[in-house]
Amino acid sequence: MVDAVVVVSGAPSQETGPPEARKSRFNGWAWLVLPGLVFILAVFGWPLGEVVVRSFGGDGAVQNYGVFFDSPIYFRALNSTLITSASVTLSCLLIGYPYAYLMSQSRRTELLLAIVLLPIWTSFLVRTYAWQIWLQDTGVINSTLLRMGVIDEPLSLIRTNLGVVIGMTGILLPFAILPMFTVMRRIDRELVRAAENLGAKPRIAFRRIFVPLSLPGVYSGCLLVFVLALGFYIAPAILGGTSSPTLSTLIIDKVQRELDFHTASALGVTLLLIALVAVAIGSRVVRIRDVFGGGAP
Amino acid sequence: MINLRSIGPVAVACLAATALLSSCGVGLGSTGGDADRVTLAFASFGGPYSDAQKKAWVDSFEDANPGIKIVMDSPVDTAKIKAMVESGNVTWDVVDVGGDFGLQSHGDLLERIDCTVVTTCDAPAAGMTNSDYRVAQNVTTFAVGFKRDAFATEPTSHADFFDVTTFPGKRGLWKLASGGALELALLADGVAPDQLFPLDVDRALAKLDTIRDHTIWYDSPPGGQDMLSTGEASMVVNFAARPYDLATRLGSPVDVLWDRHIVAGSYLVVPKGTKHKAEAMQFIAWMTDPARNADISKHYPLAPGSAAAVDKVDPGVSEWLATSHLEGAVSQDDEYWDEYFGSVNDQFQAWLTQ
Repeated sequence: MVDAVVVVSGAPSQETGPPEARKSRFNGWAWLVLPGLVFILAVFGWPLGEVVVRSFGGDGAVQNYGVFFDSPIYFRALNSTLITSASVTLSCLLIGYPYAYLMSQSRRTELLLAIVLLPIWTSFLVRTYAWQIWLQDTGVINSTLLRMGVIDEPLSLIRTNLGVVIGMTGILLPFAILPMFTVMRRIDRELVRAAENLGAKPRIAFRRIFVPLSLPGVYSGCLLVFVLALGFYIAPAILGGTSSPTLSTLIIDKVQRELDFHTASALGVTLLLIALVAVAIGSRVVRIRDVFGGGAP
Repeated sequence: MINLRSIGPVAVACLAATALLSSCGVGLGSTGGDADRVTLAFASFGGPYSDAQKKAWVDSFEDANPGIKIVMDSPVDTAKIKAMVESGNVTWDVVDVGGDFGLQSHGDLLERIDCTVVTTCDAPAAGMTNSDYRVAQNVTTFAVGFKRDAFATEPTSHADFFDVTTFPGKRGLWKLASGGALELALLADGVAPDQLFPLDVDRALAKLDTIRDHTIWYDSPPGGQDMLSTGEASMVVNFAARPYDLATRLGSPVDVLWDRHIVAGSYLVVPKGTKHKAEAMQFIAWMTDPARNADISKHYPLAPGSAAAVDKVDPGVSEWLATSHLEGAVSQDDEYWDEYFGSVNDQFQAWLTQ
C-alpha cells in the first residue's frame, strides 16, 4: 500500500500530456477504482449473494419464504416494521424540515450543523440506553411529571411503539436534515423575494416558491430515513413493546436461537426487497444519485 | 507509448488490490502468540460471570499448564459456532453454552467429549443432563425475585406471581419463549412438575393472559435486573444470580421465591474442527473436576455442575444456589426446547402481539 501512495503522488507530472491524450474519458488511472471495487464485492457482494443462496437452501425456498403463511407473527411483524418506518419518516420530516430551513437561512450554519452531527459520533447503543433512562416508568420524564403532580400514573413511553419512534427519530434525524439542508441551501432566495415583490405575502411566497423547490430534498431525506429504518434492530429491541415486533427482531431469534440460517436469510431477503421497492418508488420522484450524492436538483 | 503510460496505473491498482486482499488473509489467518505456546480461545457470556470463571479456573489452569495460554472471548453465540464450523474457520476451542445446546442433535457442530480425560461425564449435578458433546459446568436457574418492601406481606409461593391484587406491582418476564415464563405459568396453574413437558403452550398462555396488563417484558437478563432494581416491577423471573447481585452488591431489599424454580444449566462444548482438541479437553477436565468445580461459587452465586462438587460450595452463598433448594427444582427439558423452540416461539410471539 505504501508503494501505491508513492506512485500516486507522482501522478500530476505524468498527467500533463498533450491535450488530445486527455480527450478519452477513461485513462489508465481509472484502474484505481479496482481495489475499491474488489473490496465492495468481497465485503458486500459476496455475503449478500450467500444470503440469497441460503434463502433457497435448507428445506427449500417454499418452506423458507412460506413462514409468512405459517404463523400470523411474520405478517404482523412485516406490518409493524412498515408502520414504524413510516412513522419515523413522518416525525423526522416534521422535526427536520423546520430545522433544515433554519440552517439554510442562518448565519450560524456551522454551529447548527455541529449540533446535528455530534450525536452521530456517539454509539447507537449508548444513545438507545440513554433513551431508556429517560422513557422508562421510573425514568426522568415520568418521575418528574409524577413529582410535579401532572400525572398520577406513569405514561407508557417505553415498551410501546411510541418509544421506538422517539428513539429511532433521535438516531435518524440527521439523515433527514442533511439532504433537505443541501437542497434548501441551493435555492435562490431572490426567487422568494421576487414573489414578495410581486405582492405575495411571505407565507404564500414560502409555500408556493420555497416549499416546491425544496421538495427534492424532502423526498431524498424521507427515502433515506425510511429505508434505514426498515432494518433497525437495537431500538425496537430495547425500547419496543411486545405488540409490534419488527422483522429484524424475528431474524435475530431465527439465527441465534434456532440456528435456522435459511429462514433468517429468507426474512432478510424479504426486507431487502421491500427496501428496493421503496427505492424504486422513490426513484420516480427523485434522482437516486441525488439522495446519496447530495447533488444539485 | 500510450500503452506504456497506462501500465503504471494498472500496476498500482493491481498492487493495491493484492495488498488489500493479502492483508485480509493475514487478518483472518493469524492467531498470534508465541510459537511454542498453545493458545486456547474460551468463549463465555462476559461480565462478572466471565470474571468469576477466570478467577476460579482460568488463572489456576494457566499456572498449572505453562504451555497453554487461555484467551477469553464473549459473548457466546451458538449461531457463530455453526458459522465457524460450516466455514471451516474455527476460532473458539471451548465454549460455554446454555441447556438448549450441545445435545445429540448438534453432533455435526461439536467434537465428542473425551471422557477418558474429563471425569464427570456420567456424574452431572441433579437436574443437569450431559450428552456425548457436552459436560455440565454449573447450575443456573430461573426463579422469581421480588422486592421485599413492595408488599404488605411478603409473597411465599411462586403462584403469588399471578396474584396482582394481594401483591401489587408490575411483573417482569423475559421476552423469550424458553426464558421460564411458560414453565412458571403452568406450574402456578397446577401442572405437576413431572407432567410439565411437553408444554401445554395454550394453557400456559391462557395463564399468562390473566396478568397480561400487569406484565412488562425485558429483552435480556440485565434488563430484568434493572426492572427489579429501579422498582419498575415488583416481581421478576430471571436467573437467580441477578437478584443475588442486587441484594449483596447494592444492598437492595430483594429476595427469591425458592418453592419452585426452573433449572437451566450451563455446559461446556468444543466446536468441531478445533486445532487444539486435546488441550480443550484438558481445560474442560480442569473446570469440571469435582476438586475445583465448586470454586466458581466463591466469585459468583452459581452451583457446580458436577455432582461430587455440590457439597464443596462456598457456605456464604449456598442460600442463593439452586442446589440448596432441590425440593423446588424443576428441570427444563432441553430435548424438548431443542426440537420445538421454533414453533413454540412463533406461538409465543404471536400471543405477545395480540
